[in-house]
Amino acid sequence: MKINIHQKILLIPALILAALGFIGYSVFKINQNILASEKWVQHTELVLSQSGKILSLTKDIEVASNRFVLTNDSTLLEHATLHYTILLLVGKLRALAERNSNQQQRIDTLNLYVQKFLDFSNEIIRVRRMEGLEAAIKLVSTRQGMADMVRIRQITNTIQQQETSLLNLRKLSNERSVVAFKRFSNVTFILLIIFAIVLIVTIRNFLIQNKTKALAASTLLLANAELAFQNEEKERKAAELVIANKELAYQNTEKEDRAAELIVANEELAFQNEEKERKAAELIIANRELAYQNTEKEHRAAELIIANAELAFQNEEKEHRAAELIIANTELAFQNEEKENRAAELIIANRELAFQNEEKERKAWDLIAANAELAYQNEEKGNRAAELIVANAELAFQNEEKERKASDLIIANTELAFQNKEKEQRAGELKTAEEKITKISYLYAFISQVNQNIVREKDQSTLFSNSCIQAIKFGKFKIAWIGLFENDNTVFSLVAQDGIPGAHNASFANIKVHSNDPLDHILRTQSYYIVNDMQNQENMESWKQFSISFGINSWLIFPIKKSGIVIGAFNLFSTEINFSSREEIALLVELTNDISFALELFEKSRQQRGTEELILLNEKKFRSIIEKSADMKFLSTPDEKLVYGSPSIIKVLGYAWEEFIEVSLFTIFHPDDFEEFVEKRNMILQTSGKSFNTVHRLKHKNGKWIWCEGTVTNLLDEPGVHALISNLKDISEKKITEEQREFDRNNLKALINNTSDFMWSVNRRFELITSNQPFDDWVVIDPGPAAPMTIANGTGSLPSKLIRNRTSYERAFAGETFTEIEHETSPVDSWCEISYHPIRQGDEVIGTACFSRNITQRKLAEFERMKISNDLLRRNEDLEQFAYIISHNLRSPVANILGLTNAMNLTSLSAERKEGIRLALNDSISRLDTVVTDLNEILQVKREISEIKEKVSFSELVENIKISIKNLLETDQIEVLHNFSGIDQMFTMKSYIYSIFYNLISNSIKYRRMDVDAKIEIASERFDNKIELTFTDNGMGIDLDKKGTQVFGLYKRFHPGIEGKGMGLFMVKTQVEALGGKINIESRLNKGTAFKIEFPI
Amino acid sequence: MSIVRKFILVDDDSINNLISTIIIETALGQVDITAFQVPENALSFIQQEYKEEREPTILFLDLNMPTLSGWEFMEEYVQFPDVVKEQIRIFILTSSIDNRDKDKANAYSNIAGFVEKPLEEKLILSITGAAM
Repeated sequence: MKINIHQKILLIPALILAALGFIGYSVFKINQNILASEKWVQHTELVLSQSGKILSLTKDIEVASNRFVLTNDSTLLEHATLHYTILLLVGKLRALAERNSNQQQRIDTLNLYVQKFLDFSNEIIRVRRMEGLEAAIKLVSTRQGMADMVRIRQITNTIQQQETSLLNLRKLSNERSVVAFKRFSNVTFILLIIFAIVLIVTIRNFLIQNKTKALAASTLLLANAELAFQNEEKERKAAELVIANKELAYQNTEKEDRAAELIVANEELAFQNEEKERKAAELIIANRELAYQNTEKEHRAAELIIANAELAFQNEEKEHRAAELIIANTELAFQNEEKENRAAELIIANRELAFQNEEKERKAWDLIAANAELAYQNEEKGNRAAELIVANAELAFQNEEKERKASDLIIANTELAFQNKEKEQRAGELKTAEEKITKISYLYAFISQVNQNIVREKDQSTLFSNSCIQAIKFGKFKIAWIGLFENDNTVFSLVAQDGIPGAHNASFANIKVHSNDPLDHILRTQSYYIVNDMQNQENMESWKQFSISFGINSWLIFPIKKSGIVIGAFNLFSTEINFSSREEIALLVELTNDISFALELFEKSRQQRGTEELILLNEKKFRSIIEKSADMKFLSTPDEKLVYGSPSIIKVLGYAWEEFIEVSLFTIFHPDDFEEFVEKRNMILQTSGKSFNTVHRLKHKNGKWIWCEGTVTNLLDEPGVHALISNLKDISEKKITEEQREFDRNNLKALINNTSDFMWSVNRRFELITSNQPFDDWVVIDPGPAAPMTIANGTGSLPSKLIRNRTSYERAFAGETFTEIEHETSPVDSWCEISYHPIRQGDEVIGTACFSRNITQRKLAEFERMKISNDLLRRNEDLEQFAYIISHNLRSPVANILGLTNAMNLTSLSAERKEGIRLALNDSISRLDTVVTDLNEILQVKREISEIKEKVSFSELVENIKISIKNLLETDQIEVLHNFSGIDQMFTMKSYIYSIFYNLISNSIKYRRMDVDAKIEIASERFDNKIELTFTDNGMGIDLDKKGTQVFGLYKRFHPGIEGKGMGLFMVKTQVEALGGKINIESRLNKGTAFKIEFPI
Repeated sequence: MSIVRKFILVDDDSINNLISTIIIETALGQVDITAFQVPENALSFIQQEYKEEREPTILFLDLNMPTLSGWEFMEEYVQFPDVVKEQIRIFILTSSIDNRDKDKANAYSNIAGFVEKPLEEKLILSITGAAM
């Protein structure tokens, strides 16, 4: 049919519209395909996992049946539940393959074989129960089950391959349709343009119509080109498939290689285990070493504490010694003072002595004068005696003259007798005169003798006795006796006599003095007394008899005086009555006065002798004081020539003072002290009596310098002295002590201040006694003269820092020595070790010494070390546990293989037995393989995390997992709820998080309670520095009291009869820890379990 | 001493129980062997069967078992009356080669020996008295 141009023109736009519509539809379709392909991926994954599960369940059933055959352990028959599960899974798989008839056919076949397999398994169980092991093994050895199993494996593999290839095909077709669409749309676009051109051309050829065929031809050409292109594409894809096959083949060889590598890896692992054990052993040794070092350190610390205590003790000792030295010093100072006092007293005594000397001198002079006077008086007396002698001679001469005159007179008288009676009278008178003269001449002779006595004799008793004898001899007295008044002048006792008749001696010995008797009279009047007529006088009754019998008539008594006081009396008895004339008595008074004077003289000379002895004694004492003194005393001239030196110079300086006589004292002066000394000395040279204090060094004979301290006094003008007096004391000892003390003090200061430790002491009133520089710097004490800071009173910075130690101080006050550690948290953590040592005075504790050391660094290091060693220990434990489990789980199948191969060699075994062994061997080897595979998986996780981190959404993750197990959730009424409102995203490794979530969810499903609807709740919460995830279920739960420590252990299982090999929770823990997190479990049997996971942010 | 002819095997690993059965039977011929893969079942069996005097029995006990470890088994076992314990000699039969396990086994007076897997014929002969 021909189409006219109008129709053509109408047709072209219609075609264009149709083309556009087609493009639109294609876009929609392709998009739908892309969407569908996502679903397909999930679908395929489900198919893969379901079919995998079927295969693994089949294996489990086979293993369980075999084991039952071997053990007859009926608990193993819980795999009946597996029968149910496996059929369920096959049903689900079939449902999944609903729209794929090929797959459905395969699944039906699978179902058939599964049924057969289950029947066979049931048969085995039945046979084992009914007919025993042998029959069962026989049945097993028909390998029917294995044949079924192989078929199941083949079919599931085919299903999986089919599904995978379908998926790949779908993916490819999607890609291709996208590419094709692009290409098609390009082509269509070109076509549209061409159509437009054609339209224009058609319009242009409105008149020229015969070119339409050519246009159709060109269109056909284009379609051909497209077809050719599609053929090419198919060829290319076929080539790709070939490559993919090659790739698969290559992967297979790769896997074989990997298996070989795994064996090597196993060996390596075994070696590593050994290495780890060795390392663990080394760690234990290192730990022990560390522990030993710690104890060593503690030892050393203890020793240090002891050393400190020793030091403190030594310090105390030094302080004691210092205190003793202070006491000794004060003692010395006191002694010095004493000495000075004594010296001052001595000076006073000296002065006193000097004064006494003077006095004595004066008295001596007086005495000498008195002597001279006495001598003079003696001379005088001698003169007078001479005069008296002369007078006597004269008298004798006169007497002779008178005798001569008398004889002349007698002659004249005789001549005249005749003549004159008057003349006779005159002659009688003359005779009386003559008698008188005789008497006086006797007295003169007596006095003369006594005076000679006085001059000659030196003692009282001789004088007395001679005087008595001479009174009789020359004085012509009858009795002469001298007595002294005694007993308060009541008794007059005889001391010398002459003329007393022997029988009467006793009556003269002690004569009582009666009032108004002559002796009493003497005492009272201090003058002489004369009894003229003893025989007749009234008051002489007691003497009457005596005087009559010896013809005594007169008693003359003269007082003897000493220093003007009557001490005795000179008694003279005479035969004459009215013995004495005035002249005679005067002579006798004079005589007794002379005796008294002589007595006085005796007394004086005796006193002078006493004084002289006293002077000598005092001088001796004084000398010994000076010479025995430890102080050196020099008397020197202004040019320092030594006049006198005390013997102590030898002791102190080693020189004898004579050695100084030629040498100036300055030669032994220390040159450094010389100038100052001379300056001071020159200042006092001009003023008599002035002195200065000096401290200087003098050279000992052995060359050492001796420190001397003392005074120099100018006594140049002092009579008898005329020298500078130096009184010096050796103070070297004191100087050394002072220097030692200063050294000790500085040393102590250096010791206590050059440390970062604080040292302080506190008395019982909580006042600071002393403190070292670091302590002062710390509390910032005002160094002013303020009162001691009171810790308890709350003023200053010290109390606030130390007030809380009050109980510690009180412990120390109670006498305890102890150390405590203080921990301060503000402003930063810091630790101090403070030790308290009571300070004692006698038995009493007067305060406490405190030492504080900042041990923050040590503490922090300790904590750090503890943390590290705890980490190490934990890791070590983990490793050990891991090594233990691995070795056990590796060794377990190996031991089985060993046992089985041994058994195989036994000849006595039946064929069935041998078949059983072969099966078991197979099983053991596959278990070994599983362990190795698991190990690989675990080590993958334990290895360093190499995967790149990304943002992971928890809710998406859970949704994906839910989709992947959707059927399971639906059929078993399992509810998975989540609430990630707290935090939904985390930057981490997706695969690990996925595995953690998947394992925990699957764990909760596995161990759900069959009597309630399972419910799993997952929630997240965000804290400052961590994310917390909680997985809560209402499942069976675990008895944590019994199994708590093993929950996360490798190959630990707690529910017999439920599939699993004890890897899930172990992997979860390993992965959580690999991500730096922590996992905890809470669980109650038959209530449910909650896992809590924390991840740091 | 008569040869022991009664054995109990407690091991979750059925293959090991198989090996032990074969070895014991090879060594001693026909004997009475009861194998348990679940230790709890073994405990209740012993409690039930050994209330009164029976044949002397050797029990091989594995250590590493999922629900109840060998040590936990021992904890239960030691509380059994003496009449039970007098009849049974327990040997630890384990794949563990850890000395700590050996030391721990030595600490139990009720454990007669520590045997490393696999069980060997000569051991059976020596511990049952059949070698004499």
